[in-house]
Amino acid sequence: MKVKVLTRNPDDYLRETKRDIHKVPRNFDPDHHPFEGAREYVRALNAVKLEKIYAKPFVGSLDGHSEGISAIAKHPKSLSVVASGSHDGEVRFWDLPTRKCFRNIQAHDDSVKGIAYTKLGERFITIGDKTIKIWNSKVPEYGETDMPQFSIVSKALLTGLTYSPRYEKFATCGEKCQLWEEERNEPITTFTWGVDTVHYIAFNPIETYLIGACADDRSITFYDTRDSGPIRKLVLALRTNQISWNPMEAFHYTVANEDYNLYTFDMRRMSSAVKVHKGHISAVISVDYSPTGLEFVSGSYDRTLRIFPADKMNSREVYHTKRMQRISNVSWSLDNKYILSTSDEMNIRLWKARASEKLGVLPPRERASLAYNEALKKKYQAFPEVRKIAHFRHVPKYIYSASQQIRMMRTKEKRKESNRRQHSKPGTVPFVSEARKHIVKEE
Amino acid sequence: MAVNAKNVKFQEEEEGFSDEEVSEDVHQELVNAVANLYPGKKRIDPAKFYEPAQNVTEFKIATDLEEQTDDKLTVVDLAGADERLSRRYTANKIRNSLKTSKKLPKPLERIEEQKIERELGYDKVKKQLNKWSSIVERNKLASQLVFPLPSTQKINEKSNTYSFLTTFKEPTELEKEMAKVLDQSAIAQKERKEEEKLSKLTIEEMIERRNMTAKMRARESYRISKAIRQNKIKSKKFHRILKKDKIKQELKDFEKLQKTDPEAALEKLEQIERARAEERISLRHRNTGKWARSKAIRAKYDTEARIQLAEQLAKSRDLTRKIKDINNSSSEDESEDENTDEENNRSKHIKNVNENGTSDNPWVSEYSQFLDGYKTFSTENTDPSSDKGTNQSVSPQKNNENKNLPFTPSLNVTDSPSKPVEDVELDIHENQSKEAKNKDRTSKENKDGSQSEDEDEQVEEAINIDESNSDDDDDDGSKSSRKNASIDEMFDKVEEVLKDHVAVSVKRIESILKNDNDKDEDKERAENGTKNFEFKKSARLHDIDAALIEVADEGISSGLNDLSALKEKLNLTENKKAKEPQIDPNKLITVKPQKLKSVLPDLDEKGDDSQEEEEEEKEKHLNLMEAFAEDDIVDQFREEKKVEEKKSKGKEIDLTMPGWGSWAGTGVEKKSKRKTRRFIVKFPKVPRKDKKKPNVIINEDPVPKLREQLVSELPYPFTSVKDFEASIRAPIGKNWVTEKGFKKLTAPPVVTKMGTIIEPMDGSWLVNKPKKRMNNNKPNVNSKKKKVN
Repeated sequence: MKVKVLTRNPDDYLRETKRDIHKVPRNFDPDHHPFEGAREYVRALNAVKLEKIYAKPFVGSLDGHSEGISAIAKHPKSLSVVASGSHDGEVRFWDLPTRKCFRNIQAHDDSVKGIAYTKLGERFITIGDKTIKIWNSKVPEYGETDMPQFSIVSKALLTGLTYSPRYEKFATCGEKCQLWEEERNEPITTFTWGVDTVHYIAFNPIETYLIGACADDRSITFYDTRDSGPIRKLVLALRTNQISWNPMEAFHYTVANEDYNLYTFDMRRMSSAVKVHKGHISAVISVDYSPTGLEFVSGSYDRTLRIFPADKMNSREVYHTKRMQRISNVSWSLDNKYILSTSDEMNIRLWKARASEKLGVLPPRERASLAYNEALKKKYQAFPEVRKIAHFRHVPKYIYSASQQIRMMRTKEKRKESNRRQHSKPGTVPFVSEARKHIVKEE
Repeated sequence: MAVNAKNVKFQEEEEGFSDEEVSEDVHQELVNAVANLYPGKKRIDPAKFYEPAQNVTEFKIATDLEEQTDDKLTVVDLAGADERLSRRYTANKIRNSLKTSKKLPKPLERIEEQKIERELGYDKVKKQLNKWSSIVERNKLASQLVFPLPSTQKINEKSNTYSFLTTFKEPTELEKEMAKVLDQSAIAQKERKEEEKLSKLTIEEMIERRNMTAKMRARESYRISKAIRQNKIKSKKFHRILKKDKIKQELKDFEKLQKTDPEAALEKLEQIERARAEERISLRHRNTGKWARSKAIRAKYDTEARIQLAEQLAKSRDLTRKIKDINNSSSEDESEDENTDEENNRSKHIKNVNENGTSDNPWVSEYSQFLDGYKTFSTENTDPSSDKGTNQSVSPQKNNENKNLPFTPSLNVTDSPSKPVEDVELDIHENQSKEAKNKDRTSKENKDGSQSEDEDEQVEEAINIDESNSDDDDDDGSKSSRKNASIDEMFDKVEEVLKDHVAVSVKRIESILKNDNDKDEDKERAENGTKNFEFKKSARLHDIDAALIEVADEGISSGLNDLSALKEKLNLTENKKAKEPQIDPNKLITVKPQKLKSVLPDLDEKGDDSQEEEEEEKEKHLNLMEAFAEDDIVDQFREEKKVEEKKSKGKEIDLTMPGWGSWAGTGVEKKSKRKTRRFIVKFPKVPRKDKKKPNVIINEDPVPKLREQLVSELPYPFTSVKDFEASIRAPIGKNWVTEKGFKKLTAPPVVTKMGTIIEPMDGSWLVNKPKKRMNNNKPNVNSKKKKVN
């Protein structure tokens, strides 16, 4: 069959100058587009493949510490500045665009347990070896010695630090939780509940009077700094390592637990978790929410980072490199673009929050086409081929095998439980949902 | 000391302790005795505190006497104090009250107390956290979230009425005086008058007026933006064309003016004259410039440069020529300065293009060729139809006056591309006044027309019928425009066009013939020609008219008179066409008619529908015929379907065993009837899905490979398969939805600004409680009350 080609007037489809808008003559009559579905499907497939091709999340590493890194702090007003403290008591400041250290202080004799910037980032607080030190953020001139502006010797052990920019106070934890003001030598208030050491503490970023603290007795304790002091305690089956509040949802928080899981709770109803996040194959050490409150990143003892959507059970991304050791801290940058992770092998690593995202300013057409790709991926996400490609991640062998093993263990437990249920008197083996299973008590 | 001891004793008794304990005195004695044993060491007595009584009351001072009386004063004892009431009565009352009242409970233990405190504190916090739930819920449901969150405080600051009011200041004396003076000025008064006028208008009128002004403003802004855009265009060619258009437009305006307002026209003429004078004064287009000189140097060897120079000179001649020439441009003039006078008429421009055989835009040339062919065709095609009187929709008035009138619309159509429709529109009254004159002219025209008929009578049939159909359509369209056109002018133009056309075609024929002669030297000319014709046709669909001309040119030596040869050629082609494979009209697929927008104005769309439909159908058939000239798709499709049907039919199962009940082996006849009936299991007849659809083949076998690509389970948010399918079916790409829809459908769910810190949510996002509002309203309420008072 001969195909007859129509010729068109070039004036109809060519723009006269480069600055003119594009003429796109189109007939949107669906009768003229019999293969629109098929074409879009192919585009979706291509989009999802391209995403995989461009997925290069590792940006760079910040090298300089001579001990494992114990603490990290974001600057509240500058995206390019990050402070990190190591186990040898050194605090380093990094310029992220150049990935260079521009200042280092021997802040403590022992390991730096916590760093926090003040409200506008003009000062920073470090804790370690039972002292609290407040420093000026400005780099000292040549010849000046780097001395803290202010230092407080605490009577109690210090293990964690948190600063609330809205409340303009900071809290430390250790044997007991203490609330401090910058100007005072003594804590404003001291909270205790039980005798166990509290190892992590975090202010609620929205309702600033609320503090969440993780103690060694497997509990998560909440304090109201206004008058009532301790208000609630939640005990999980295993120890909670860190807690992170959702910066957009005042009552949601996520905890990193020793039992390889993360739990998102609603502060108002803590009898069951809102979501149990699974995927890690070892204890989860650290967790940090993205500033949008839609996702969080977790770092684990299994040498991987995982990014979870706050409302999903499974992670959407696993980051790992060959030489990255056990993660000690993770931090999501305040522009929602990058993730920082510190690990035992003295490096800070900078990752992209979205692995295949193109950095820098995008021209509008490119932006539109990327948005189209995203929309297509979302539209066709249920299709097996698309899903297969989108969900595929290459992980190191030890992670793969361990996760298989864990899966096997879990299915075994499930099977065993169901067996027990079947062979015992009805009602004696109750159904306990996964969200409630790990909660020991709430008081 | 003794008192104390006694007291202790008394207390012990009351509490029920009745142990035999060592009394204080004895103990003291013992202690003293022990102390005396070691006289050397003086023991310091411990500090002692003496209390007169252990039970201290605020009502009286405890005395030793009272203590010694041993019996305790009770509440009942006090009853007698007031002598007005009987002792017994009060005593009873008190006893009763003692019975009913309960003891205060023991204060709680510290642990329990803290527990309750915590519970209360938690409840309080819960309540405070609850206020965020609506925002969280809203964000969860939002189709798009934008970060950082737009701060609400800034907006409030701006809308603060107080801060806005403080910006006003009282005018100074000078300002007041100035205002007075300005107020009395003529302009101000004029404005006031206008305002008064406006104030007399009704609301509707006002609105209309406002809308009008808004529209005007918008149009102005569009115009400005367009002008800016056009000014930015660097293309010289574009500006040249623009300029030419402008000049043309002015000329047309001038022509109009001549008819409507002779005085203004005179003025305009003067202007034009002035422009001409200026042109004469200046050295522009005189080949004195840098460019011209450089060209002049090259001109010796470069023919192109020579041509360009000549063109330039021609232009200057053109510009300096007296204006009368332009106005009275008759067909003769045009034919004379065909090459030089490009700007005057586009039709001529097209002609030039044709003559040169080259043009910048191939499309234009093709288009012009098409037009030429079309003109010739339409001229004869319409004439006979008028004779038959088939065109009923012609206005009766004109029909009576002039039978040949249907001829005019087609002419009009031929002109239309060269002239915008607006220009053709002229007053009907004028037409009527001129009609007497026209009659003579039309008769003349008719002659011409008949001539052209003779030329092309057979051409008509050879022309693709597709074309003819579109022509018919255009005929209908032109009917309406005919009302407005002046016949006189139209005939003039037709004359021109026809003459030009003939001349051009003849020239082309000449050139082609020459080429042919060079190449093949009288070698089966006729055959060659037909081949040529065929090739052209297949290569270019819309070149048919041009090809027709080619065919017409075959074997013609030169001149206008050798048209007979052309006819012969056409006969040949006709014969050839008859031999070509034809598609059986019954075998055609019925396709829903689709109207195409033609380049030529299709003004009368409401014309007789039945006729149009017929034409359309015809067109359809012919289009198909064209498209599938070589293969018979319908038959092919049927065969395909038959094969498909056969394939899908299940095979019979043959259960016959050779040798059972009959002889087996080579040469044995077929199975017996009984065997075929009993042992061959026939596949049940399942009606195919496409049984009643002759134009479709529906594949009923599932393709396993395709199956793998499809969704097997209903994905989460969907509740029905139908919904999910619908969501997948709706496209979101730019190719299928409008730009706006595309943007909406592909809007990213989360938008963040690059390099901006996203702060956590703050309290400004919470909805204000009604309490606060009440506070705000309070002063207003008061003021209202005051007013009432």
